Amino acid sequence: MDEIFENVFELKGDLYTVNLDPGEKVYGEELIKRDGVEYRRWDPNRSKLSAALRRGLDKFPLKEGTKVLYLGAAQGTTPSHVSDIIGRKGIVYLVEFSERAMRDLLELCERRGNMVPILADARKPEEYNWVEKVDLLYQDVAQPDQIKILRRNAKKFLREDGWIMIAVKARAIDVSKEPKEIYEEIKPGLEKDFDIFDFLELDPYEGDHGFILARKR
Amino acid sequence: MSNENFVFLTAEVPGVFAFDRGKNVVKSSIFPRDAEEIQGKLDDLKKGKVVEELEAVLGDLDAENIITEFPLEIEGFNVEVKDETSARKHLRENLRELSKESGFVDNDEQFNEIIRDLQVLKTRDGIKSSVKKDKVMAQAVSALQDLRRVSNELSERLREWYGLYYPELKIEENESYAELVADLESRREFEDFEGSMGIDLDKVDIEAMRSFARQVSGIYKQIDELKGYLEEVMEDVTPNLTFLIGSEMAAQLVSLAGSLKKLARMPSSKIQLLGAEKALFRHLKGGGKPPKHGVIFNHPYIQQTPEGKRGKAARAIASKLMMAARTDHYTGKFKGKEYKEELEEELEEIRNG
Ligand SMILES: C[S@@+](CC[C@H](N)C(=O)[O-])C[C@H]1O[C@@H](n2cnc3c(N)ncnc32)[C@H](O)[C@@H]1O
Repeated sequence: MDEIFENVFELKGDLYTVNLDPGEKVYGEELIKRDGVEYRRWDPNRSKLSAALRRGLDKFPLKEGTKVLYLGAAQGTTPSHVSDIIGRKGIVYLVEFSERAMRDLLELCERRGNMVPILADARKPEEYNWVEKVDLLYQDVAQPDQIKILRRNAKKFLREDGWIMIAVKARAIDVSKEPKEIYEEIKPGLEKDFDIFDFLELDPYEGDHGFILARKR
Repeated sequence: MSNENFVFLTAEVPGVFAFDRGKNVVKSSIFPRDAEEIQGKLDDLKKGKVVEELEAVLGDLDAENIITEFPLEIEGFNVEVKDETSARKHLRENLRELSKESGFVDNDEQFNEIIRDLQVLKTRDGIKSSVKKDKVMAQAVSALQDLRRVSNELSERLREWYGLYYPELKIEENESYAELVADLESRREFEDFEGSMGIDLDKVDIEAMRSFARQVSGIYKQIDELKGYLEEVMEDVTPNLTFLIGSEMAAQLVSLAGSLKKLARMPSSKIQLLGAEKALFRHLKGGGKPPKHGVIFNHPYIQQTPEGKRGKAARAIASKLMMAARTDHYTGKFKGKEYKEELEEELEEIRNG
């Protein structure tokens, strides 16, 4: 096992995180044991953050103890790996507005003491204004107004120098455009408040998606 | 002087806090570290109830004036109620730090977990589809029962009425009887009409009966429609209960409990007796046998069990229903197949045992 970033491991070309909830799978991923530690395989075809790492994300701001606000948590596939990486000292607030997705997510949260479910629309951050300032804002909502949603949440909850990670679904914003073109369009707006560190396209793991890493100024 | 003599009183996850103008904690009293209790206490405060932690803070407070977001009336203090105070904002923004400083939690891990617990609780209650539609279903199943009762009454009336004209008409099923009467213009159209003992009637008399029969037949159609609707929606609202005992009985149980949430919080002994309240009351007043079963007594599962073993069977069913109700309320996952297999095995054993 090589530790490529803090708490992110690689073995024979696959990524792994240490299972915070030993013995339990979240989405059917493989579990392996090395030196008495259980790892969960982090599938780049199921998780865009894993795909971004595979595509060579050169900086990775998640680590032990990081506080995260996660918009668009769905059933918790990627959030579960975030939960592994930040450990029990860290916390991830999970905003999801679909009740169906939330039912599965709740079960996961019950098993993991650092995952906090929030049934709310990410367009209305007032509804969860009790959330503390976070170190990282992660967004994967596939909405045409996703950048607006991101800015409102960043303004309210992201600390100075805090990081953002955004999965951008090109077709959700404009059906006729490629991820790269969409990126060029949203870049000027983002650069008003953020320094952009990296932009990646996620194919072949996830078609039609771009991934942005940036930092609040 | 009197201006200095006030505190901001507020409460959040860790407990009740009094701040001075400089946002220093003047006094605080922490809640027990249990999500349900905290939720309950915060709800009480919002309703203006005085909880014990509030009393503790008020105890030897050196102030006469209180500014707070809670609608409190407290003897010996002037209370000003304000929706949002700077103290409240301060507490919210420093929740983690103040939770640690006040001794509510020992470390970040504990803080994370209690926030998680509270949100899990809140989110469960917020998952609306099951919580909201359950009341609609309770009404729908009552409407269905009303329709059944009324259709029986009206059918009897129709049989008596039409029986004057054509007593030989023997059709078991009420629904078919009504349909037939509605469709036929006179008894002459029946093949075996020859020699009927009935009285001869004018066209207007027959028309009045037919019109009535059409209404009765319409009620039966309404019943079928409502059953279909109930089936469809209940599969969504309580998939597990519905799979186990059918949509109608599932809706009845929800209706008797008051809501799915209430049903999910009931022990199985109580579920077993839902609908048997009247019999229980009679028994307590000193008459009648103690009731063994509520509505679930009507289920084929029990009807197919020999009499002496029905109590045992009812217990087994009720305990599975409790699990199903909890799964329906809390997760909405489908485990009905599993439950049903287990239950049918248990019932087999009871019947053969
Ligand atoms: C692509 S999925 C996220 C997958 C997840 N990030 C993962 O990798 O495991 C997008 C999710 O965002 C949710 N979503 C979309 N718009 C939202 C909004 N305005 N507020 C909250 N959730 C939203 C959807 O319900 C859906 O579950």
